Amino acid sequence: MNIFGPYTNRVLRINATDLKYNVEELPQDWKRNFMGARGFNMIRLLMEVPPEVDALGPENKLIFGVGPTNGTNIPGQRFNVSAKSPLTGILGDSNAGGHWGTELKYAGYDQLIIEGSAKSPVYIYIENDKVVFKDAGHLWKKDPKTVHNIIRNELDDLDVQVICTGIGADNGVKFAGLFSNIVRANGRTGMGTVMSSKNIKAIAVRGRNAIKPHDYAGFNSKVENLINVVKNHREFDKRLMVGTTHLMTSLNATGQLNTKNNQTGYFPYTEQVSGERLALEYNIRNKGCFGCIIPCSRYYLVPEGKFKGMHGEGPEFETLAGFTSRVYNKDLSVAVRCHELCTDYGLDSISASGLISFAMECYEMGIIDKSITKGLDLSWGNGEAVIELLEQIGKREGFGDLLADGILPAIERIGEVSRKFAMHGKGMEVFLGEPRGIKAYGLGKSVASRGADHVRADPFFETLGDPQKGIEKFGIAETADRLAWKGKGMVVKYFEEWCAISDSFNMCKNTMVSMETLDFKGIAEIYSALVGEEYTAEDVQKIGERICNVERIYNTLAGIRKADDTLPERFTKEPLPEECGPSAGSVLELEPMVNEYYLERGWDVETGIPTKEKLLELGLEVFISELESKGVQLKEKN
Amino acid sequence: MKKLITDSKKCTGCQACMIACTGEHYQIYSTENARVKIVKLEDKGADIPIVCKQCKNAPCIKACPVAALFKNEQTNATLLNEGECIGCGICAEACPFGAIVLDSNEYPLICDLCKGSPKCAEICPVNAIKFEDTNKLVEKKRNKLAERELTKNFKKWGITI
Repeated sequence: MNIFGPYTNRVLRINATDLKYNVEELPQDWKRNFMGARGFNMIRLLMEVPPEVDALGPENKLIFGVGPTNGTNIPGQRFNVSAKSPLTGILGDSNAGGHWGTELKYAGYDQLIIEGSAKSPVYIYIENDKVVFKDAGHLWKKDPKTVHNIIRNELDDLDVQVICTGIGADNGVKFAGLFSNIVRANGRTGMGTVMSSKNIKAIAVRGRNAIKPHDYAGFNSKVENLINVVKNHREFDKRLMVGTTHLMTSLNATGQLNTKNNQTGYFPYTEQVSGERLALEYNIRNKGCFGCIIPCSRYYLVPEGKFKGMHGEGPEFETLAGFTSRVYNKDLSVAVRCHELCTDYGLDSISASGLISFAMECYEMGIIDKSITKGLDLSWGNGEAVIELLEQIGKREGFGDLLADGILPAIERIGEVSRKFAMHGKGMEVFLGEPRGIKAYGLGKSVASRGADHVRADPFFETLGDPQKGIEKFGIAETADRLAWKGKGMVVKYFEEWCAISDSFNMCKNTMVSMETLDFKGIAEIYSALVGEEYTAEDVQKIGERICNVERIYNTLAGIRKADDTLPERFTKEPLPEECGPSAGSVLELEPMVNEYYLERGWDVETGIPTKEKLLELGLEVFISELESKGVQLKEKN
Repeated sequence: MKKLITDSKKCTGCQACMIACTGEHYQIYSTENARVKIVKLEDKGADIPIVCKQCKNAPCIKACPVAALFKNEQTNATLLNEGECIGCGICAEACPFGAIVLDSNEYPLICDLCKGSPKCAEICPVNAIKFEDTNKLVEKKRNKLAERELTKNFKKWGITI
């Protein structure tokens, strides 16, 4: 057993084409500049994967990263998977919990890079320094549960951690994720599709090493304090009971629940499909990610009806709302079945439900009919049709095949007239909140580096509704008012940096950010004890800012400009209907918000490209010449 | 006497107990040399904590050929005299719970109850591992059952309490 520090300083690079591997040293300056996990992955992507490569070709690289806290006793440990996205064509990145990431760290790696493409299906087995390639012909187009069971049997090890693709990725669905602990999903941006394109079905990891902080006593006592804060948090019991699904009821009450493809923010049948009902009638126990002391995942057993006896972990809010309010389905067991299918087929449930609700609205508007849907009755609330269409997407059969490449190809195939019903940002389907009722989230989604996404910023601050808090924190009362737009550029910048650190330190965002258990100062104190170097709150926030700018440089090289930082007109022009109560009449004032955000960021207000001044300030000047050599014009300063 | 009592219905499989264990014993974090183990049967959604049961008539102590294992009278923990241990692993074979593991040098790791306040029980957020007196626990269970019975009877008799 080796004892590593908070960084193992080792990067495992696997060439899938030759089935060879080598171990490299982690660039030492990365630790101070990018911290870990998402930060490491983003700089790696920028340096090694030109945005013009084919996302599904051997030149794309699939990068797995863990952070300095993985393997320690920090509560709720996660990991990131990144590559160029086959769904959006810009940067792809997805963060998940479970146990796999920490196992990779225990095996002795901060990062794992997979390049090239295998000639036939393989899976990779990593046990500390040992890397073995095994045939995966018998696992191809199998679901994650089956793959987990077969690999654990083959390796005769119940403790081996497996990450794999589902059936959909192997069929080439563009928004397929990666699945570890069977149901833990790196869901967004098609990372499963990338792994499948490399003919790799799974990566099984067993780590037998240990992690030692620089200052054990200092670090351990600080984390024990943090653990006590979490255990005594006012939301502890609620999160154990309903996890994120409490949002069904709370968002609906204020008219912010994505209903009928964002036609409205109010779903009258919410009580029948709420997180509370799921908890009381379906859930039998809790499940936790590695080291989690607020284990908010729930294990269900369907008690009655057509799917009686079905059991598994989940669903979380996005999936639950995706297959209820979004498609107007009021049958809870149908939604749980869809959740199970998303796991079996290995699909991103947000994208999948977004595409289905898009198709349903096209059907309602008469843009498509049964001759196009091949007989499917896509009326709102038709649960059976939703289940059927979801399976068709996973199999790439029937009408589902038309949707399986994501929203932009779907518009092309159905026709321009469908564009106004396509709820996406940069080609990725939107989440299950209603951005007109939570405007910082709206801004966050429009500027998010991986396409419309809510956890790049997760600016819950605006929902506090306390003007005094807004003045104290950001100097503007409206920043704490979800229906106001002023100051939201500042809020989104701050929260993007906090979230980037959460994904790079790699502690659960729900626990760190949403529950406000660690601010930049708290992170700096723990991080300093962990690595033995002094960090201030400002240092840590600066790392977050640097990561956000690296992501912007990558997307700028991929052609992203101001015009892409937007959302469909539904959000900016159609006021929320009367039934949305306190949110009724609201629209998203996106343009002034984006301008304000660019000013806060030090990005060119005309183009959205970072200014030279900002890149110099962040020590990213090396990329100025690269951008200019690709014909990108950078402004000196704003 | 207090001992570690587990409840697999509550365990979430997070393994915080394992890293608390290695932190306490070695000032490092690792699952490999933890003295408490969580068996994860992932496809069934089951997580089962395995800990030393501090047996009264301990098979590990009896099996040890060089008498390297002994009981701490205050805590009832089974302790290892490392100087005597020959690393034969017979104690691990003898344990009916599979609670003794051998470290990477083939020497046994046995729960020592962290000198009387076990970290695994302290950290567990859902009380899947508790440090309690068995009789106390049984008494609570008995009282609860009695209360339930009584309520049922009272209901039958038309009395509400």
